[in-house]
Amino acid sequence: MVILEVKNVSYGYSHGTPFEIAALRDVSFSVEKGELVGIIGHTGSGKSTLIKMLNSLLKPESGQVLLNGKDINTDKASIKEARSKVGLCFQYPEYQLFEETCAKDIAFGPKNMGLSEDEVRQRVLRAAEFVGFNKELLNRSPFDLSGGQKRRCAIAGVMAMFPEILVLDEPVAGLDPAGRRELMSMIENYRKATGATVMIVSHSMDDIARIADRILVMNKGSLAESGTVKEIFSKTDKLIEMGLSVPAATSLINKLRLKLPELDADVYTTEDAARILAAFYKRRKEQ
Amino acid sequence: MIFMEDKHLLMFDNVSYAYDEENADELAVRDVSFTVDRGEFVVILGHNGSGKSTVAKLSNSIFLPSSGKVFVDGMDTADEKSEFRIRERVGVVFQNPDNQIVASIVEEDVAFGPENLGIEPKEIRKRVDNALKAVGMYDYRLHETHRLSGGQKQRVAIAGMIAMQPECIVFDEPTAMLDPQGRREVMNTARELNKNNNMAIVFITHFMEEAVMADKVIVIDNGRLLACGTPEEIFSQKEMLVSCGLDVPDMVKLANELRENGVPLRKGILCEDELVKEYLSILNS
Repeated sequence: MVILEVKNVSYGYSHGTPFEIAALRDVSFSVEKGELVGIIGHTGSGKSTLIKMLNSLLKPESGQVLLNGKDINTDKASIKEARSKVGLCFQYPEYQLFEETCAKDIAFGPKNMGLSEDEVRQRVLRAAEFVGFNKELLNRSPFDLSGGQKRRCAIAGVMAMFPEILVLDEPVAGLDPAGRRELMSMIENYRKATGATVMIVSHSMDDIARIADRILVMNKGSLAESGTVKEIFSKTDKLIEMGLSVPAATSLINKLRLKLPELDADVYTTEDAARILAAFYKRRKEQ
Repeated sequence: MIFMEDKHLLMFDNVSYAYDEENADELAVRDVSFTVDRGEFVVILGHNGSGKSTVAKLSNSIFLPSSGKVFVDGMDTADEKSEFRIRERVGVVFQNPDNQIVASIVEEDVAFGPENLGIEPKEIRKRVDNALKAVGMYDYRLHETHRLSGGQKQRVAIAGMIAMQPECIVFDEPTAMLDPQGRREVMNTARELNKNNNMAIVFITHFMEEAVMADKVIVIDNGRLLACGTPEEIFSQKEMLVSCGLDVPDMVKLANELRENGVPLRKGILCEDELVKEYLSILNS
């Protein structure tokens, strides 16, 4: 079932000046309910403008954004609905923490949705669980937390609204390897538990290859490609031309295939590469 | 002759630092000692909050040690009289390029540092042009800084450093906010400065891949120096790295997994090219 449809959306900045930029040009795609969509693209490719369209923080100059078949920009009520159903989490969301305690900060979103106190409390606990926060952490000031914990607290604030579509802009940027791994698995947990649709913007091809059902590639404001992990990362040259890259394992296999064309090209994670290369070695030695 | 000491461009000698002097138990950096020689490429790894950035700020007297000493070219960073000469020798490039650009035109931004050093206009012109060429931004010299991409801005910030002709640049997670292209640009620039200009580089990061080509890798955990060695030495200690929130580079991980699965790869493989070469050679042996 299609939950979100972006139809011929265009948007520009600085109209009427010599610096006019078409941030989005005729972008169209749809997202199935429960799908995990990865969005990749160079800096300035229009990724952030695109996700701001998804809950009407920006309105398309032409084209439409449909949520469950309804244009989100129809009237005030539809905008309000989109804001509660599409949860946006910006880059470095920890800069937006402001409350005295983590619990209060996480509660901010659901409170503004007009939910009862009891419901808000329950949602805060649920969201805290998703990001691995215990009661002790919930009562601490978000400003006393480590960088990784702050990030998780901020993301819990969006999860607590239980959006049908959770949109995250570079959720693991700036985190160390352990922090990246933990946060990615927390997002997976949220998705499994709630059945929510998740969209993740990332510069890490490895992270995207690992988790995405489908990938959207933005380039200079246009949607350059849309497809499965396999469809996207089999086009190495095209991605590099667009300032992107392929997962480390794919790059390795590409290089080996210059000498060993019979190797399986369909490899996107180090685990898969290890399995395939070990099996290939064994077969070669048995011959 | 104090020849040996003379060689160290940067020396941390039992350095500790507390952000809160009242609460001196909570040290951000604890008893850290290491050296950086002229022309050396040193990578510092550590998880979020490990004290890496504090080390960067201690290296050119932005912060002064609570105890211990930092020497730049033999000068004590705590000696106020040396502060100017220390900053001439060691420059720091920070994570967020937007916080480091001061002028609206690229070449004016690059000229800001040398202007403040009181250098003659003619010489500044030369330095600015050379610095912009070194980072591949010469064609953009008349562009407006706020219209550049993240990677381009970061390279302009680096050019600003180069124009001051320091002997060492400390990069504090310069690629954390960049896309793959931007990361490649900044990494290549750092490498070329090291190779072509013999500039010492201290590169702070938590991308393990960026540590592979270093002369020396330092691991910092909870403010302490946990390990120091060649990339080979450091990345052969997977458990130590994982225990402090880090990891080994993907290619090391892959080589380890292959060895466990009976592929007799040699030890010490760190990057893609080495792995490709070794795999092909044992396949055909």
